[in-house]
Amino acid sequence: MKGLEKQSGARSGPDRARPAPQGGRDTPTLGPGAILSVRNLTLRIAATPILDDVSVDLNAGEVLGIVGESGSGKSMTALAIMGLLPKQAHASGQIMLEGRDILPLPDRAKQAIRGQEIAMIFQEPMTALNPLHSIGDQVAETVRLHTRASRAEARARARDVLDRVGLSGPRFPLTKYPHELSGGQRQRVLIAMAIALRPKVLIADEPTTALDVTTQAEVLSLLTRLVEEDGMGLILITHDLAVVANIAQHIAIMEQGRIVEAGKVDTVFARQDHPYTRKLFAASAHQPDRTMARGDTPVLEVRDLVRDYALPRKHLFAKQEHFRAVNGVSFTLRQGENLGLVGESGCGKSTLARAILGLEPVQGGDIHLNGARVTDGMTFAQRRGIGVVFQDPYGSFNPRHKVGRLVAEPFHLLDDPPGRAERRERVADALRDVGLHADDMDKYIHAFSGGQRQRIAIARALVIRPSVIVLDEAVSALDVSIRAQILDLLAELSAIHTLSYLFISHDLSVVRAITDRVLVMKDGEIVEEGATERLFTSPEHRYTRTLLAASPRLPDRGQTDAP
Amino acid sequence: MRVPFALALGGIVSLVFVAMAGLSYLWTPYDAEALSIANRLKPPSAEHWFGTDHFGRDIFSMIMVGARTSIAVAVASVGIGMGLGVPLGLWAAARRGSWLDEVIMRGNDLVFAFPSLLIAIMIAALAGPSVMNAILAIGIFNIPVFARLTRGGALSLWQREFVMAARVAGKGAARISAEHILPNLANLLIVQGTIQFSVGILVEAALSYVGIGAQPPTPSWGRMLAEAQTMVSFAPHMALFPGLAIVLTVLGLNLMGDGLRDLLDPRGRERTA
Amino acid sequence: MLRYLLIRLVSLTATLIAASVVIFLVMAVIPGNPAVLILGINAQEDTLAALRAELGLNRTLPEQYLAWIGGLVQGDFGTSYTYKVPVAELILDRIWISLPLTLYALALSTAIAFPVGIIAATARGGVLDFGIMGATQLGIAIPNFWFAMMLVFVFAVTLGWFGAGGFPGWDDPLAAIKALTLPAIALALPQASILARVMRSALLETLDEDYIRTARAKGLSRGGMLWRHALRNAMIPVLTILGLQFSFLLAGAIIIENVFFLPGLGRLVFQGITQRDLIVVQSTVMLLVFAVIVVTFLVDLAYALVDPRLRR
Repeated sequence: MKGLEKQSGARSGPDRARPAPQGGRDTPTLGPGAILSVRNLTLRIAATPILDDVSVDLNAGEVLGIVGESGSGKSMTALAIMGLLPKQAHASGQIMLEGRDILPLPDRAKQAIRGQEIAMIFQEPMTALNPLHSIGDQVAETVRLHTRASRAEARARARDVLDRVGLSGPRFPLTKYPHELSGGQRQRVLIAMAIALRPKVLIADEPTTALDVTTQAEVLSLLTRLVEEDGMGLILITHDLAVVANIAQHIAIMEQGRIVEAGKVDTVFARQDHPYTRKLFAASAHQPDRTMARGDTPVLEVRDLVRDYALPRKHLFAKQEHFRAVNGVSFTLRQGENLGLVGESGCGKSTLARAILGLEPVQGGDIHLNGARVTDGMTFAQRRGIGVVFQDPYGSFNPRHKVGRLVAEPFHLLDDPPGRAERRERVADALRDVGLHADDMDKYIHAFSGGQRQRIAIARALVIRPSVIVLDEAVSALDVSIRAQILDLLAELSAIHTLSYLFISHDLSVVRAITDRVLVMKDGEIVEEGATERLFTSPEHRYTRTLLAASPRLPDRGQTDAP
Repeated sequence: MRVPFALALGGIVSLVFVAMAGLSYLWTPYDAEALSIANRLKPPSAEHWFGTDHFGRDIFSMIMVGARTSIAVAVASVGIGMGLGVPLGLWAAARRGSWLDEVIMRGNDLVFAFPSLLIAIMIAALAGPSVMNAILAIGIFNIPVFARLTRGGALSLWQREFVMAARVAGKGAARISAEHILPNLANLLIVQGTIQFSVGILVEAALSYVGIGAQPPTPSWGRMLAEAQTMVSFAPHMALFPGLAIVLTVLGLNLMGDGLRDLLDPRGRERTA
Repeated sequence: MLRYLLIRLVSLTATLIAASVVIFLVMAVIPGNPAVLILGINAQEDTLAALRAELGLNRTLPEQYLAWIGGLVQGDFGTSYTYKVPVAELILDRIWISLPLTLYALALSTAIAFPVGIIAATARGGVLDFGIMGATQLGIAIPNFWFAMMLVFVFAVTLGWFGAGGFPGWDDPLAAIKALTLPAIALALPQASILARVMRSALLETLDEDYIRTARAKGLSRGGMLWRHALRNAMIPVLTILGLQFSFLLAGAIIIENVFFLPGLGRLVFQGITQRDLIVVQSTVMLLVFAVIVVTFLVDLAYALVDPRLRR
């Protein structure tokens, strides 16, 4: 590998435009040790201002976290550094890579830098790899693009790099295709592709957002290790303060195209000078005020529930095989109780939710709702007792109906549906309950933001006053500040109406904030159940401990000392 | 909302042909069926804008009357295709993965193995050539086109959370299909409808041209072209104008379809919302 | 891969059987007695009965169907009522015009559409793209048989570069190809317009994918991105259309033969209809359907070659 590197370095002619190694140390504009320095970067796309006077420094061997909510401009900053801005973008300022301003370079020169000196990995590992090329070819491509390595040399290099990111030879031959790998493994391939030529700067844009917590922890520790070993600088772009707290040395907090606060992670976390920083911290660690209105009456009882899926047959005459997504799950949800259900993707938590909602047939066990046994297909009377809020605020509504009609949909379940006037009155009540205005019922759904849509979804779930609401990742798609508001709303509604929640989430910190009791699910089974505080402070099951250890946490100071 | 240029242009061209067909019931420059041997094979002139054919009939009048056949066949065949294909597609999607879905989809595959010309050949052999033959052949071929489109669109809609919410609200498959699925497929179906409309006009012309579509005395652009064929060398106008009529109508419809797609594309709208 | 192949093969066979049943039933319910059609209404009752027995018409429908299929498998397509020769011979004579014409047109269509579609995609939004899209829009609207007539008028009647029709036979391959050139162009251009548009939109769709951004981040140029990553992915929808085009071209060839007086399958089948020579119609339709189904199968195979996700 070393030999190859020398060879390629020697072979890359002057046209490669690779700057002479100078370390940047003596360039006056740079801070000490900075390899990349963004100076006064201002960007607009067409007439819309995107970035305003952004300046950050990245040191070799260090991690810089750029944190912000959606629309803060953090991803655009990354694309500007990569030279991958959309066509109508106009950027001014400087992007100094080892003392050379790369912003004004023509695309051809930027191509030589991309992948070789600055590399990038993206959020969606499932779609970021070409499905038709083998992983070996895709990693080798980076090498072949920038060096004169032969096909065999490039493949050897690809093998080495894949080994380095933990995809070792025997299990992950170069001939594997992306669809044969899990999300975490694909993200490793993308990392291998990015670090194949030992770039000076690696930009990771939400690299773990689409991954489970345990996988996230693995990928983050891999990135940290690579930074240490290669001495490259890593820009970690994320919405999650806790992720940055755990691995970055420096942090920049962005809001609406500006950097509002930047500096060493410890300092920023301790001081929180800017109001937005404080707001972000407060929202991230938000604990809704929950006054208990708990009864002892069980409203939802699940006993030994089993859900099997028929798997596609291996060949035409193969025996039909089944996958048990939910395996003998039992639990009880009491009146006014908020019950959390946590687990990683594929553990069966969403299947369980859908089975409870009567959206899927079950193969065993039974469900009692408000004391009555739920039959197959669920009668209207049974369905009346349960409502649901889904994850995606954009997919949850028929775009062709007005809000009034959307919220009124569950009236269908009533034996004696209210007349037009009464229906409007009750929809108006529900909208007011969730902090919206009665007039909103005459608007179409596209007039509302993500957070408002989630409020409307809650209004719809609430309108016929069920005793249980299933919240399936209901706040997962929201920015932290909006999420905090919705959590407050949920806590308030639960208290007022003695509502019970089954709160399903992959995000442990949210579950800790809103629930009384937690179920931990793995491979279709509940592995641990307990009061929230007990479970989070002294987990009993090994898997629960793994989950807790893997989930990034904000340092305590940030949680309590914020003024 | 700004009307796309393609939609405006295509709409106007298509309307002109519909208007011509409508007008032909009340008035044509000459009687489209009146023979006049003295006036045969006249090139285009002030009296006969598009000239006359080998029987001395006025070609412009014939094109006006022929538009009726084209439009009638296209409307009826799209009607058959949508009327049967859309419900089948909705039904298959609602029962996804069941034997019913399987039967409907395999039936579709089977029909797809018969290009509409082959269906027309078989029906012509069965019942003799006629306009009805053309309508049936094109209509039958349209059924799987609409069934597939509907099923594909409906399947992804069934996965959407708003449909889940409707199911939680206890609504049945039929009601959900009518209330939530079909309205969200309308754009797709309208666009495909205009495309199949233009395909219908092309295929009708071809069937009439080879003699298994419209029969005399039913006027038809395709048959006019068949009659013009042997006279191309000395009376090219006989072939030119009916052909241009087909080209313009189909072009107009296709432009309209493209324009509608731009106007109705939910992705485009989601972005502006 | 083997499993995919096997499933496709089973579905191919099933579709073939179903199609043959449909064709057989449609032809079986045709009013009018073939024996009467052949011998005329004045024929003697005993000659009619003898012919019916010879044609196998006194057997049950399933028996007749099995006899027909059994014959087809052995290359026996029955005997034409009008020509009094085996249908297989008639078809064999004529397929050497229709099939080469279809393939010629398919090759032309692909050769035109691929570069044009790629150019339009790379020039997205530019003048060239606009021009190409306008031209293809026009191309789609042109009926191929009318286009053929116009080609005859311009290149045969006016310029005299080509013959106006007829077919010299394959003894002189160059002359044969020349005779098929105008028909092939007439067939190919409208289909090429469709294919070019599909190519363009498939490419543009692929260029929006996440992995294209990944490729750019690796340092690939726009051109490299197109050739190495976008094109192969765009081939999946393009293949679907190519498969469909085969059946359109085959049907189109049957019609175009009329314009150029080519003695192909089209003429055979239309004569069969007018002369009520039903066994000819039935067998020709079956053959064409067979070709369409086999091509669909080949397209499925091509998918598997392009897309590793199908090779399992």
